Amino acid sequence: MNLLNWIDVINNIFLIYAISLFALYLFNAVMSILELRSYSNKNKYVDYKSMLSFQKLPSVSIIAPAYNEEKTITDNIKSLLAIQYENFEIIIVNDGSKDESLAKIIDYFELVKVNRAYELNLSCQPIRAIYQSRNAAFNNLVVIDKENGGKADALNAGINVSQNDLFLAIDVDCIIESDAILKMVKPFLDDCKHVVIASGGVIRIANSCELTEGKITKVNYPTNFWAKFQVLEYFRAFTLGRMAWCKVNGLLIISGAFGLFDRKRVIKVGGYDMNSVGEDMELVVKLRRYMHEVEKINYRVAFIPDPLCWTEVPESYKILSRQRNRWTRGAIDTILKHKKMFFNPKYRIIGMTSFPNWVFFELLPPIIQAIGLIYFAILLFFDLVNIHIFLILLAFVLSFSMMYSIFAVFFEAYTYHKYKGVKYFTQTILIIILEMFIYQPLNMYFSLTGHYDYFFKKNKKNWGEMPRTGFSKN
Amino acid sequence: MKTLTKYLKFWSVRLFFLLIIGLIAFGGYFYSVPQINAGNVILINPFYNQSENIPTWLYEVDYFIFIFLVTSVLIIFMILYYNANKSKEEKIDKEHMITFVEKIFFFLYPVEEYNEKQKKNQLNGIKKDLTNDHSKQLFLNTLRKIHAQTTGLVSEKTAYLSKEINYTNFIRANLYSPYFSDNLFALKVIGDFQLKGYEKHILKLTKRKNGVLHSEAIVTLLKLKIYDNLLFLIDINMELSIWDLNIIIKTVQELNILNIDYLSLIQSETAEISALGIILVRLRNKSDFKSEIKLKIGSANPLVSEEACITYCYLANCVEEYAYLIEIFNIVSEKSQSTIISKIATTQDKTVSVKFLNFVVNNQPFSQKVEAIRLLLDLDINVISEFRNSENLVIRQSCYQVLDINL
Repeated sequence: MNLLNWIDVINNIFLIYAISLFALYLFNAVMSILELRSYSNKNKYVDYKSMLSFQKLPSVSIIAPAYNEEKTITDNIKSLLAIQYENFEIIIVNDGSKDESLAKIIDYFELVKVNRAYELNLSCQPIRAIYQSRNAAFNNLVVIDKENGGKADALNAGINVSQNDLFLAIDVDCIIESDAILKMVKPFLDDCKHVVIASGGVIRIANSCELTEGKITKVNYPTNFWAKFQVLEYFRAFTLGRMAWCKVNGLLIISGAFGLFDRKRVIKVGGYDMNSVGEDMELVVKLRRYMHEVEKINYRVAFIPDPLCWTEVPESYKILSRQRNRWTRGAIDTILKHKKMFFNPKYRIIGMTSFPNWVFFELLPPIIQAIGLIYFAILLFFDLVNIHIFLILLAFVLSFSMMYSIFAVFFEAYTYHKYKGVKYFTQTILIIILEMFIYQPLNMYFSLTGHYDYFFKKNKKNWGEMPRTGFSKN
Repeated sequence: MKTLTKYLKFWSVRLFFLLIIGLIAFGGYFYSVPQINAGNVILINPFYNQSENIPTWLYEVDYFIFIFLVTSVLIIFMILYYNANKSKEEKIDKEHMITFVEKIFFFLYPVEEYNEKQKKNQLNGIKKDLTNDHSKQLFLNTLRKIHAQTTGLVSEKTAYLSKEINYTNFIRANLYSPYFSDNLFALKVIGDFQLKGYEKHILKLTKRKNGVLHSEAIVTLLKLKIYDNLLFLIDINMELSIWDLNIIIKTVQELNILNIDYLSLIQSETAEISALGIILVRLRNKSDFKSEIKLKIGSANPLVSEEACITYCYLANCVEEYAYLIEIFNIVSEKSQSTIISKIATTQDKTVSVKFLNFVVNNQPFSQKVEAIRLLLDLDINVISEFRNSENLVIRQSCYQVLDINL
């Protein structure tokens, strides 16, 4: 084969990859429409408050690890205390904060040290003390003070102390809607064909939103440039991507910021992996693997599209790059740890579809894109590029990408309609266009650095800090 | 007629989307050939001569770019439309709600009792606002909610108003509609206002595979109080979810349904129905069914077994029954065990309780240890010092937890 033949072969490989990627996006769009329609139809007339008088309702522990959160912690706990549920407790795990987080909550919520017993079902750093409030208004609040060990370690400590049927893992800085647990618990009750082992929810962006008494009172479109990109990205990831995978019961990730799990099963699989920076994805994959290998019963991971959880996203280039780098390292770590599932029919749809999807269309794209760019530069250098063909293909990719993003925006407007106004709409269209030239290449770069750090750097388990500005400023 | 309109709308939306897909496919075909001869009509593809300059596949890529761009523009218009429409809808709904609530309350609480003519005028005034299906649904829902949340005169008057407004055809159209949300709406209205004459169709809906519809249909039948022995649940012969169980129990309790055929429910082959019967026996304290429930302990279905054990615990009141509970302690679920622990602590024979609770403290998981120590504290304070100094760390911790005055 001569050089031109080789170039043809390489071109075809790139083409097949691109077509598969587009097909996947179309699949996501169709599946998410079906799932969301079915969800909204089913739940339009549900009176969630009636669940409060149910005879058989699982008890829930909300576990929120906190590390150096002194700016926001009391507001966040107040928001959690406003949650509506019949039998629940809030477990705040102070993961060896170096600031005044613990002192602030002890003072505000009138906490005292208690002799609460617990079993070390999951390994974690030593617990220094457990606190509960003397004030009856906060009697479902438990605060664990422990040595620093990271988010996964803190969650494991919380699971050890918790005794309820389910636990909701959340980031302490998240704002949760008051009916969030009711909505998240429903799938555990209403499915008679599958055992539901976990349910995840949509994360919405709280930057620039107005907050009163721990509740989002007005949803504003972020003013920060980076946050605007992330609004669009979250629309695509949660409304389209995760809904679609939920439809085929192939969801491999539940956001670490907001996920409800069956506590006993999580203990059986050994809890969160303390050596992983992608502990949220790792837990879901591990749970699914356990269900296929040990319990071998029909099961499901549910996903709730209602906007139930609001969080602050990075507003600076530096923090955003750190976060994306970590996400990539976490995903690689999980994929490598569970590589046995890759194209393994024993794990049915997970092994044959979801897992390969993660490998080919979540992890590999930055590498393929980088190789593609280098390859294109070489061809350009040797004058082997047909500019006319290149421009047509570029227009094809950009027009598809734009259509997909616009569809995600439409979907939000059609279903939840949280963002309103002409200003939001025009800015979003502009962001859709800019995203293709600024945000997506940057994301590719962040992801590549994640790959590099994972395989070539020693500190691949490093979390990196994400300073919060705090909702109080709103 | 209304039902027919709903079916027409249902199918025309689907046909429209099919038509669009057909148009795209036809466009693709037309783009790939120089011309199409349809009888006497010849459609010439004006772009075809471009295909001679570029590879065929690339020529077709052009078509996709066109489709993506057109779709993007269409979606943008749809976003604008939905944004405007939703904001308008939300505003109108808000205004309607205020008007409806005002008019309903004006009707319910007149300054002076209305005569027939005044009543008629009031009704006409209300009907005037109900110009489309959406406003009718909104009105009936508001009325239904007031009716469901109130009792006595208010509830009677809302029922009267619903009758006077006479939307039978509208409710029927919603019940028979191909739209699932319409069915749910109709079921809620029929159930809350106890409208008769739809039972046969509702019975059919209980057999639907759609869980929510099936569950709502069951609740509606319960509210209609026609099948109040609950045997229709056995006839449906479908699995029930825990959600269904909860909703049924809640409805049965709220409506205080009394003629339940407990025995048939308990003996049902469908596990969830059997569990339902057992739970209802517990809630209604029907000790006559103790022996049937005892037979269900150890059932292959964990839900039935657990509920049977908990109910048996609740109903047990003699030495033999307490002894039986201790006997089965090791073979039942953790939740059942916790119930047994609490029950045994109430037995008259203190030695039996203390011995059993000591066994729990030394052998059972930690949450049960805590409960057992708590119960022992009332029965025999001396054992507490023993647990405080126990070599077993978990027992020691459990004991400290029980003794902590802040907990």
